[in-house]
Amino acid sequence: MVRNVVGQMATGDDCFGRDQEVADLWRYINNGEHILILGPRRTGKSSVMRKIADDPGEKWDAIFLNVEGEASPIGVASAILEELFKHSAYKSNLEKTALGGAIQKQWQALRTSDGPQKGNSQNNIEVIQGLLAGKWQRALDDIKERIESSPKDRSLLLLIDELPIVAARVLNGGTVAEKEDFKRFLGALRALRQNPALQGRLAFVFGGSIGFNSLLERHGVPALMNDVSAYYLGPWDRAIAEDFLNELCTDEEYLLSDEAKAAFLNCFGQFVPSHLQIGFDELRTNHRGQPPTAEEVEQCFQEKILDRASSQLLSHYLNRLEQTFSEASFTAAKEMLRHAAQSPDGVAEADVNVADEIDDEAFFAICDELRRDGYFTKQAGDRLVFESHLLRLFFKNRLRQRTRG
Amino acid sequence: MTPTRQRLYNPAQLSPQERAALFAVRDGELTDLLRTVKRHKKGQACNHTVIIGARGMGKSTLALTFLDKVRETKTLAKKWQPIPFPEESYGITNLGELWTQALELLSDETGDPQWAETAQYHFRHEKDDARLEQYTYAELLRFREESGKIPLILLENLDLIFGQINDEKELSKLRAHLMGKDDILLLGTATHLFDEISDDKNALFAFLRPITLGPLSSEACLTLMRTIAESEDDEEGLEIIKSCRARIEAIRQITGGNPRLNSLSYRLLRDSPAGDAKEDLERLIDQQTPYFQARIEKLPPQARKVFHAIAKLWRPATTREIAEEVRLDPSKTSAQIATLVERGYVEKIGNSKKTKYQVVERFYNVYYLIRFTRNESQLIEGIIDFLGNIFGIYGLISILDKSYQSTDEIGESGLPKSLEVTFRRITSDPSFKIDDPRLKETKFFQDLFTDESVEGHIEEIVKQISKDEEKFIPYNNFFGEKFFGESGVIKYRILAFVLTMLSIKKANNSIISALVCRIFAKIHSDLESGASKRNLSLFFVVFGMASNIEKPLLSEALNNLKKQERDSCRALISWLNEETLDHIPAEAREFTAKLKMIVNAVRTGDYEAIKEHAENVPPTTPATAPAGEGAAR
Repeated sequence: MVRNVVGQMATGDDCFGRDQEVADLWRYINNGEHILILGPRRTGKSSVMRKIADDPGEKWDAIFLNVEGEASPIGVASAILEELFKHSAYKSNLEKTALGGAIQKQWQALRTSDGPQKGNSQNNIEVIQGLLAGKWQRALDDIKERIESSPKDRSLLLLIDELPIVAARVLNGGTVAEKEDFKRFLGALRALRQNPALQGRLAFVFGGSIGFNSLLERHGVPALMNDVSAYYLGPWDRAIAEDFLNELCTDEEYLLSDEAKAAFLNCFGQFVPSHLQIGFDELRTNHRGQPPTAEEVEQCFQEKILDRASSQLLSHYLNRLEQTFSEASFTAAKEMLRHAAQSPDGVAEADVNVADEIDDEAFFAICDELRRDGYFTKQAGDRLVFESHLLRLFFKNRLRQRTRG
Repeated sequence: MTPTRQRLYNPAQLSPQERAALFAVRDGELTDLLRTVKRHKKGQACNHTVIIGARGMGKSTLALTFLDKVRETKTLAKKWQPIPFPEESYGITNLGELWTQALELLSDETGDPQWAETAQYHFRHEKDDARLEQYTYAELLRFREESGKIPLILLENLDLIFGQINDEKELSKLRAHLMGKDDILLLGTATHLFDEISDDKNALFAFLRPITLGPLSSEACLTLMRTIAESEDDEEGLEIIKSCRARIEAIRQITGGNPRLNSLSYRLLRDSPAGDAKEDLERLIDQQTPYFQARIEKLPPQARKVFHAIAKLWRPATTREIAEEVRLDPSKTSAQIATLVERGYVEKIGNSKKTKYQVVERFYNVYYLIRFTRNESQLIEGIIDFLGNIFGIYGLISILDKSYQSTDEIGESGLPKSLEVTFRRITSDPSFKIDDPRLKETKFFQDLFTDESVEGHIEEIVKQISKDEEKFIPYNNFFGEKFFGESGVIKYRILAFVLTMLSIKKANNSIISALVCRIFAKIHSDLESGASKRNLSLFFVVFGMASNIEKPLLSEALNNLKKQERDSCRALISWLNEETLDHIPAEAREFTAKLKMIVNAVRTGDYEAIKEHAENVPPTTPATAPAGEGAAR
């Protein structure tokens, strides 16, 4: 039974239509690859990562964590360790590592015989951080140690969501020292991935809503993640979207006619799960009694769904580009989006004017990134055409220019 | 039935039974919320939700009624533990304090003191905020585990609480607690989509599912009023509701469909349908003043400035008009307007090409005018408009004579401005009828209907709007002869004269058109010949089109024409608005074309052209078009 869960990670049965992606990713992981799942926010990366973590199979111990709230390597490292300590497989091995043993002792010291048990908390982050004493390398060493001392038939899969956001935070806004420290941290993570002793025993899956490689390239360290394969999480294809809508209508007891369903999907053009979920939610809010007709669906899309998506969801599509690109590239990207948004047929690449400092190579790199991230369709040759009607209308409105008299 | 108390500002003070008795609208939203908890399966992510709506839209009532339903339903009560926070939670500045208070409230809800004792122990002994958060959150999870129930936490004014916390890491931690788990279900309320959940730079971006409480529909408003009346055992009130539907609809519009204000306005409707409207308005505004003041003070300075400008303008205004009023750059103004729209202070009217903005709560706008405007015209217009919407024509008519005798500033018609505004408002109301008996009872109309007074008024009008009297005399004669033939009745001449003034000078035609309407009605009833009636009507329509006389008056005249003429005139109106005339039958096109030339000539004041075209237009109908040949619409 599938629910229309708006805003949340889809878990269990609610995570629909990603079987192929999950199978692909497991194939890469079992082949010894490390993955960076890319896509704008709310496209389902976390849900896919969680789905993998919830069902890792026999060989893998999977840990899923979101580091978005962290602002430094020590924060990320502590968060990883905190999740490791919660993992039942890891807990049993706790005292086998030097750090784990120290932490265990600290936790025992916190317990008192009077009143509530202080040491009951699942989050002993302070203990961990205290023992790390600001040195993230200790955490990475501990991970390495833990894996090496684990049974040979066990492997650790670390699924870390939104590390690129932390990277952008530090590399774009940190002090020189903080930036250097973060680069060293990324380098150490790379070293961990490349460690021959850990091949096949440790895999990373990162999730990111902004272009990690572009960011690293801008800061002069493109090699730090070049061992990680990028996997672009795209929207559903139409068949899956139709299945989702059918199942949702049945489970939510909101029976749209076939024409209405077709109209709904046609309105979107591109089938990003969270977009469809917001659309369904809005449709249901505005047509509570009788499910709408096809015409009413289209009207709801124009009058309500677009408005809600624009105010609650789509601004990220513009803002993430500002974090990914340099200033000049961002301006060029906006020009491309603005031109393409004027018509469902988009615009020819040659017809987009950008500043002189953007040479052809940079221009086409921007085009490629926008296509890869799902802004433009890949099927239009040398034209920049929006795949998503929702996105096109959003950018048409957001990037409109004043009419000069 | 014992009358139910009302707590418009504090629904939490009501018992569940009282809340249920007064829960009249928002059934759909309640069903949505209940579906969220009914369909949840163990281990699945909870659907955290925020109820968004301006003050008085019913957020608290909805949220509390939802919690009542959860408690009352066996299957839900087994699975969920409501923990409603008080509406004002000013003491929460971090997650530790949030969970501490949650544990204290949990004890209140369950009757088990251990949770409050634990929370207080940690709060007193643990000085470190991060540790306090860890311990208290762990206690909540312990309740979750031991009871098997998921804490359902209601946080009102979520935007304020998040604003108080004001720490990205804390909010990221909250997200981590809530994301993809069913440890806690968070239900919040807020007056708008605030930054913490709508800005993609923030951790909780698009994280909460919003349920937006929009304005009440007409039907919902009626239901609300009936529910209030029933809860008070007020049979008379129910009768008033039945007979005052138009006024209730007006109230709905002026209050922006706001349930709280509609409930307050019910009192006015109930107690003084024929009372002194202005005094009642002042009483109501006085009651609301502290609330209104608080609302304005919440805005940042520049947004406040822009809001001030929009409120002063009263009528829907474009961004450019607002920018001029506030003397700010249009792009800065636009950004502030967007903020005001987002926060529910201002609403958009119209489509994106001609978008205009006005204050959402019209009632609030009146308060604003009364408090802040020194422009008497604007104030008069605002109050009259508001009174018209609340009380309808009857209320306006009741103040018509007061306005007629007032010493207000004199308007263009030579009559007091407040009278002009009131009169315009009355005659533009869709329910206005030319022969409304209540109107005829006013001194103003009695004065108007005597012949001397009509002529006297017209002379006054002519003096006011024209200094070039020479030009008008020939046209008065011309039209009098041409269109009214041998009758030459003085009233027709007066009509012709007035319409000529109107069209040539493009004067403020609201009061004049109303006067014309009076004259027309009077003449209409005097006419004996059908042909003359038709000619008169045709004349009226032509001048009406040229002079932009308001549609109700035009429609009246159109109804007196034969179908073909009426169709031609309607088509001509469309043509003048640059729409196609393809549907006009060939035989009627010449006639219509000539009419168009006259209308255009009148509009431009081309006296010679008027004379030339008018001489060639027969005052009779064109030949009937053969059936089925593109008949005029």
